[in-house]
Amino acid sequence: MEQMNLADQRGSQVSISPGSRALMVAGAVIWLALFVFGLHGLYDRLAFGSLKTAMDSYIPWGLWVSSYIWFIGLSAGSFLLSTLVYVFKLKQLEKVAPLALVVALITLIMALLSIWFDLGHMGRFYRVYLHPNFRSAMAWMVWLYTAYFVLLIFETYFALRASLVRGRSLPGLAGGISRLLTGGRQQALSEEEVRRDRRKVTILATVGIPLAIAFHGGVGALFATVVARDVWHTAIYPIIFLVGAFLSGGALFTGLIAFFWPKRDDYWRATVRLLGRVTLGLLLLEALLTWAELSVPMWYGVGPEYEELKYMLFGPYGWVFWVVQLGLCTLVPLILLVSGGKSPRATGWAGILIAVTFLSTRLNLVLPGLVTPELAGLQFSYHDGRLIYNYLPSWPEWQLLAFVISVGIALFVFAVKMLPTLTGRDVA
Amino acid sequence: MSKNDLLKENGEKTESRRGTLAKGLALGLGLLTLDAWTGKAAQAASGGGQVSKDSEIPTLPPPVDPWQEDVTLVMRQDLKRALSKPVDKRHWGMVIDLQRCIGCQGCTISCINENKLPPGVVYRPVLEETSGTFPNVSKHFLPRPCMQCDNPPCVPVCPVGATYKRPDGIVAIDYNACIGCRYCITACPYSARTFDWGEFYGDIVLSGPLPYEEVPSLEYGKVWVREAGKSPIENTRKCTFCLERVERGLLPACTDTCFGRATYFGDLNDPEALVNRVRQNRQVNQLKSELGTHPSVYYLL
Amino acid sequence: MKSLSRRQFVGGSAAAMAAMGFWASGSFALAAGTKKFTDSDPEQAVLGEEKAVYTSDAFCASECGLKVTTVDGVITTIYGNVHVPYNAGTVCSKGASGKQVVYNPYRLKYPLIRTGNRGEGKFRRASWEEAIQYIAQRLGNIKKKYGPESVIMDGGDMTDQTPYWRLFYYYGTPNCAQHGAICDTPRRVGPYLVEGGMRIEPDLMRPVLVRQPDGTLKNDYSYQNKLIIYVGWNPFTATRINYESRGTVAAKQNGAKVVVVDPAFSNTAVHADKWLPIRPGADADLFAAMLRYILANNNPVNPERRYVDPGYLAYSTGWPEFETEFRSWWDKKDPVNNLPYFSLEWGAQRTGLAGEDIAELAHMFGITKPAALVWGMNGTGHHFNGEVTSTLGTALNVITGNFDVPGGVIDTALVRSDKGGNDGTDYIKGKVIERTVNGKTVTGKAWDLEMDNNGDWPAAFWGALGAYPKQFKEGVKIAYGPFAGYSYPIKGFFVRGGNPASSGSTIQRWHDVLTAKDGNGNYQTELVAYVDTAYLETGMYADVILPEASYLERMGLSDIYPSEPVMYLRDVVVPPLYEAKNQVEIMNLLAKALHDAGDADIQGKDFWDKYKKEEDFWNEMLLKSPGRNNVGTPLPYPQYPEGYKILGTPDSLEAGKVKIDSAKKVVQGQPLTAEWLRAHNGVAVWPMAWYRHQAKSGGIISTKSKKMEFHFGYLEAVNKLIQQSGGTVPYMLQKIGLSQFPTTFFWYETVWNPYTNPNYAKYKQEYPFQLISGRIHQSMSATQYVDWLGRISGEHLWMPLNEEKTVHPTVLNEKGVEVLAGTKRIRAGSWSVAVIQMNAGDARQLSLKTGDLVKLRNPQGEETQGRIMASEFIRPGVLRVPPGAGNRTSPGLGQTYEYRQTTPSSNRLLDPDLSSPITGMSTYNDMVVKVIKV
Ligand SMILES: Nc1nc2c(c(=O)[nH]1)N[C@H]1C(S)=C(S)[C@@H](COP(=O)(O)OP(=O)(O)OC[C@H]3O[C@@H](n4cnc5c(=O)[nH]c(N)nc54)[C@H](O)[C@@H]3O)O[C@H]1N2
Ligand SMILES: Nc1nc2c(c(=O)[nH]1)N[C@H]1C(S)=C(S)[C@@H](COP(=O)(O)OP(=O)(O)OC[C@H]3O[C@@H](n4cnc5c(=O)[nH]c(N)nc54)[C@H](O)[C@@H]3O)O[C@H]1N2
Ligand code: SF4
Ligand code: SF4
Ligand code: SF4
Ligand code: SF4
Ligand code: SF4
Ligand SMILES: [Mo]
Repeated sequence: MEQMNLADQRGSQVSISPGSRALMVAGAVIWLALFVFGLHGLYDRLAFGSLKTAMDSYIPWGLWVSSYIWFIGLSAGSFLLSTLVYVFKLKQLEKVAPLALVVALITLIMALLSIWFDLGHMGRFYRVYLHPNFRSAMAWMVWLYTAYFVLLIFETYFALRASLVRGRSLPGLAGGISRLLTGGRQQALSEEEVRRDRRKVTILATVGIPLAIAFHGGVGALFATVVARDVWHTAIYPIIFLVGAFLSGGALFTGLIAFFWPKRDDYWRATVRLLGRVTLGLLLLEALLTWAELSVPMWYGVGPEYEELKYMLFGPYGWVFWVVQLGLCTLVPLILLVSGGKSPRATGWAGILIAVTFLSTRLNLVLPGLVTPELAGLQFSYHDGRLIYNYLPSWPEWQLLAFVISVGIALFVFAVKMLPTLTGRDVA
Repeated sequence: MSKNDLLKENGEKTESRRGTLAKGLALGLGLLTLDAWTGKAAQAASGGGQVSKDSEIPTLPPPVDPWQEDVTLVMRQDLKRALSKPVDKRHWGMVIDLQRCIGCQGCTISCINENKLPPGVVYRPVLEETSGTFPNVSKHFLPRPCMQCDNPPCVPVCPVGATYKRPDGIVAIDYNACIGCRYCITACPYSARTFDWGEFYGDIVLSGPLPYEEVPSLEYGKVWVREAGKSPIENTRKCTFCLERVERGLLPACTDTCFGRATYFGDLNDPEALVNRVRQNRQVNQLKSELGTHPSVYYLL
Repeated sequence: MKSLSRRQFVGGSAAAMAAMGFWASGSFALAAGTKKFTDSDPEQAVLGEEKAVYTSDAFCASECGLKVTTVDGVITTIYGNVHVPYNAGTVCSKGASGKQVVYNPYRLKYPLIRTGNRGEGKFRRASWEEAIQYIAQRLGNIKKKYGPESVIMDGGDMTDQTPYWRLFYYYGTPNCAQHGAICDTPRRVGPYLVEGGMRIEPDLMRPVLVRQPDGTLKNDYSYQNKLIIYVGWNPFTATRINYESRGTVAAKQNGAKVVVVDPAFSNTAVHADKWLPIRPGADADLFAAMLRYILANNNPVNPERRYVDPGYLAYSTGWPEFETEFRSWWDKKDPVNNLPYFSLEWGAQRTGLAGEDIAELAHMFGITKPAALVWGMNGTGHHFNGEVTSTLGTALNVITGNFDVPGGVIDTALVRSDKGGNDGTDYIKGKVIERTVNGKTVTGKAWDLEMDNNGDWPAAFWGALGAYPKQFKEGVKIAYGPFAGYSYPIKGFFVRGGNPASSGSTIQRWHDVLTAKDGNGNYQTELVAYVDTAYLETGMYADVILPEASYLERMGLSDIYPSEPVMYLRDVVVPPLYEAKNQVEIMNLLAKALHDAGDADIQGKDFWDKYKKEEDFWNEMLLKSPGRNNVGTPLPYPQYPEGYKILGTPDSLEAGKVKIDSAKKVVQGQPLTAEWLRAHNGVAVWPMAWYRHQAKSGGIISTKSKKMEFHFGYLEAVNKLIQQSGGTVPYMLQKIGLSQFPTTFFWYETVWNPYTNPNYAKYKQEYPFQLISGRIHQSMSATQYVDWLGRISGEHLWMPLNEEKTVHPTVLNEKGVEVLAGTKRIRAGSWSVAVIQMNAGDARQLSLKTGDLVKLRNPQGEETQGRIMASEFIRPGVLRVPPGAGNRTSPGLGQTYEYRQTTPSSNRLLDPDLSSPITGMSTYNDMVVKVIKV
């Protein structure tokens, strides 16, 4: 049986059409370009510290913090999606759940990389472990991620162990990795062992739910607890973060399944449709919350929040909201999901579009809180390129983000290649 | 009636809500103009000590100022007393008299000098608040050091406890512990924290640091040489109340040099200290005190 | 320059460790809070050698006392010297920025010799030897060919020009100018004519050292002022008189009222009880209306109307004549508004203020004693008729009994310590020379060739720098004195510490004359030498540039504007960087070179042999300190005879270690020296007194009659000189219809003012804005290459309205060649630049908003360009720009230079042909413009 499957797989590799080969080459070239572009950002960061960023002391958090909450949201979202299977026993997604876990892991790594690069003293991150201040929402964050990270590793391992053992005989690197991960194990797992692993996964996933909610709601709280920033300082912020995580994570996964699931069968179609519907629901919920977030403080057109949100909507970067967040991240996907609901391709595009442009939503959560002076006239008191209320990420900032993304893509491709089980290619 | 009297009647120290500062000022200025421009002022003045050509030098009227020495010397005495007490028995505080600040920004630069601040880092900007339309306008200057809050929002947010409250009231940053996450910058309601991005004034001509940028700063009593990747580069920084000077019995740079003699510094726990005496009979305000931050910096309106 | 390595700081020597012992000594162990400092930093806190030097600032003319610290020879902090009562330890933002002057990457480092055309800014590095030879040779040639008087030495804005004056006086030219010549002479005219002084300031300096009844000396910190009126004078920003900053707010808290008369709401207005936004150029009108109100309503028996204090009569002459002349105008009707001159309605019409406000101001000033009426540069000094304003202002202070009384006004020029004497003035005034005039050989004094006093400006007591371009172009025609009829060209221009090519009036003219060529293609001005610390616009026209030590690298003396004699030392904080040299060295080098080239007027005994060290020069000057008479109440030295001149250190005078010379009426204590000053916190302070003008033995009044003169002896003497020389009426007098200088009350209208001068009424419609200037911390030339000062804003004149720019700054390298230093992005809104302050209502009407680029054009077709700052803090119809802060064309200014295209220079728009009739001062503040959106 195993042989068969492997043969199948080889067959399918062989049978790749010239068109998709070209696509793959194109993909590889684009990735390489992204990676090289990103490497330069990495160099800048390591060689010059924060010097090449466009952040300043009035807007001390920018692209990197925004992409960090973007990635962390993707991770939380993917993870929670997997719990639909492991905790809530949703059969339909059974086959894709391990992939969701791996995506959660990879995006978590991307998130951690982003925030690590954002630290002025990267070398001192260990201090959060050795000298934590547990009154700090940020310290909690780090500890919760760490817990989540460990949990994810174990959960993924147990979710994949059975197929890993099967993968030992794969040729090349993939087999080697399987052998490495399963240690001395020669035989396939017994039914009992499989059941036990499954139990472990269920327990871990159950623990993971509050953890994911805690840390991601907590990321929201990290902002919301800052009394000094009117826009952030609202009870709705943690909720927005959570819903955003569900949405972006769900959307990403929808896109991944839609485009990267090798077998375009009925199962695939049904799964994509289901994911699409979930995404649609979350998209509507997110829109509702955004409306609440904007309309409540802005209704009477007074107050500091009003000023800050007005800046977000009508300031120099208003297009980020109108074009990217509202257009590309909300309306276009909405149309695709509603009208193209039956087309997995349309659904997939909607998912990818949301996942990618969700960065804009994150930027629009982080920046408005920072763009107006806390004391009137501060902008005219002492001037410097690092003391202004105007932020546009610098090239090196984009480059470093590109680096993180290219690392994420590489990890994803690597995982999918090395662990065929993730895309259902080893399952009978 | 002089402005002082009017303000006296209006009440003493008020820990008012946001906006009171501005309102108070507007009120003060309003009264003032009225006062000055009704005949009253002139009458009052005409009653006062005539000086005629042949008189001897008149015996000087008792000065309103409660001190007869340069206030910086008085304050140095205050420091001496405070420093003789254990550290947890003193509470450093600053009082800024907005009626005296002339907006010269000398304190801003003196502070940069003292602390060897690089581009982008500023501890004491002087803000200008303006209101009104021609010709009924008003303006005041608001120097803004760190408030050294007694309930400092910047402290609990720090994930590594690098920023902390000392028993003498100063909120300090342990540069060697700070990981540079800038969370505290977002948390400070006064924008009193700025980040050291690693720039040098010499960069403008790419010749690297200028000679005076290589002289270490002595913040918190330690020697800090700015070099790439080393603290305080990539750290958050803020006003230290010039701890390194104060501990030597010297006044903070901004206080020592203040052009309008508008800045007072001393031990808030010492009722005899000038920082407490100058607040008597004056309307006193703290910035954004409604947030419950309990600043150690007071403004006299 | 010895570049300082970081290692030097860590590896300190034992001595250094001892010096910094307190760091290690556990004073910080005490301070340990909830955390120990030493946890994370085991590094021992060791600095290099720390040193403090008492010195004096020269970043503005206020010259505050400083305490500057260095670590391992690098300047680290700048504090005020608390022992100098003038500033009592305070420093402003400029003062605190001094180290950015010293270590400025753009500063002049080596002598340079021009390689390109004048104005082009192309130079090569030269040795001192070569540069000095170059100058000496040309000076020698000029002296031979045209006479030494063909050289102008301009001491610029710096007040310690003495060594250069000495050199050039000995060289033989009487044409040495200093700060006053470009600054504010009309403002000083009133005090100069009336009491022989110059600067009337409120009695606000505190502390003052006062003799007590028990004979001891005590620092007096009390303020007696009851009313201070500042007219076009903004001491809080234009920090000319340091103590007016802390003094005004302190006096106010002590009950004094403060009134500010200014078209703009200046920083001083911020703390005023009343702001009167006067129409520009109408200050004489305000003063005249006040004086009329006071004279008309004065009633000695009504305490509510007892304005005039008759006591002044005993100490003055000529008042009845002055008053009669003044009153004679009251019945005349003004052609501008058909109202009687100086009436309240007339004043209201002209000043744009309410008549009641003028009456109230006059009443308050008349009734409140002590009071002070103070006027400044742009309100007075820079208007064509500023001479009228300051004369009326002086009269107002005197007749109300406020002169030199506690809390009143003090003419600081009359009471400050003496430090002058050996600048060569005596030499040039006594030097006998011959010239051939109309074929006849005439003998006279070298001084009689002085270009202003014997030429177009016979009454310009400080020289008329604004008129220089005309003299460069046309040459000097001597009209008065023994050499009347003689003329000579200007062939050499030696400028030190001044930047007229940017700060002068109508700077295009400076450009024209400095680049003008003769028929042979040679520059008409054969030598332009520039001695400075910064490479600025005037330097771009120079043939030779000498780098001078900055004020923190050289010695000097300060005694500026105090209420009592005070003298403090400018000391060497760090030795001159690069190849810069101090002024005594440069004087000696040039003197030697001239001597060696055969100039017999210059001898070693007067220069290099006499002043072997820099200090020798200043010590010689200190011999004259304080040089003031023992007069006033309380008598400064009751133990010495009243009226005697006091000389010597305060401690020797106190201890009675003196020689009393009754013949010369001098009390001579031990001479003051730099060494003594160093040992005494850098400063000497002698006791204060008031009523010093009343001393029977001859007080402080330094007019010929020793009384306050309302019949102006000085101008009478000038008239006599004119008469004796054939009666040529100076051309500016002709313009205002006078045939001789007025000797009592006089009145003439300012120029380019459509509201007060009928000749300009026609411009009202087409040129609806009056263009004025107002100082900011950044308006002196060199302030603008100080980075920190570009980072603060002020008065809606200097704002972060810069556009985003990527720049490629250049510096002059070792060869003196401008080289690319790098690339830098300047973010929009991150750097302050000069802007045009415009009333917000006016801006709305013109559909302009803050940041818009506009052109200003004057009726003579000249233009400048800058960004609008729409502001509620200025009177409608008025535009205000910072002087000299815009359109800066020298790359030596760094970032400020990068914004030259979008910053305004009002100096481009001035009328070059009009300068004040008596003093020859440029009319920096009389112009109308229209605004054109770009
Ligand atoms: N910070 C700083 N300090 C300086 C200098 C500097 O450049 N910067 N320069 C120094 C020098 S050289 C000088 S001479 C002094 C000058 O000191 P000031 O005379 O005080 O300075 P200005 O700013 O030229 O003029 C004062 C005020 O006059 C107002 N003004 C303009 N036109 C008129 C008018 O027609 N009538 C009236 N009543 N007011 C008018 C302006 O708005 C301005 O606020 O400052 C000295 N100190
Ligand atoms: N439109 C307009 N124009 C004005 C005025 C105005 O109000 N409006 N004000 C006028 C007045 S009051 C004045 S005083 C003049 C000022 O005009 P200037 O006398 O030209 O003064 P600054 O422009 O300050 O230039 C001073 C020069 O001295 C140099 N310098 C500084 N320190 C040193 C030193 O230690 N040694 C040497 N050798 N050089 C040094 C500087 O680099 C600079 O080149 O401007 C006048 N121009
Ligand atoms: S130095 Fe003093 S007067 Fe000047 S701005 Fe600062 S607080 Fe105000
Ligand atoms: S002012 Fe800001 S930085 Fe200072 S103690 Fe308060 S919160 Fe902290
Ligand atoms: S920047 Fe430093 S001091 Fe501020 S919160 Fe982060 S670690 Fe703490
Ligand atoms: S106390 Fe010291 S650190 Fe704080 S603003 Fe003043 S000078 Fe700067
Ligand atoms: S007022 Fe002038 S002399 Fe005094 S500190 Fe400021 S710049 Fe220096
Ligand atoms: Mo001046």
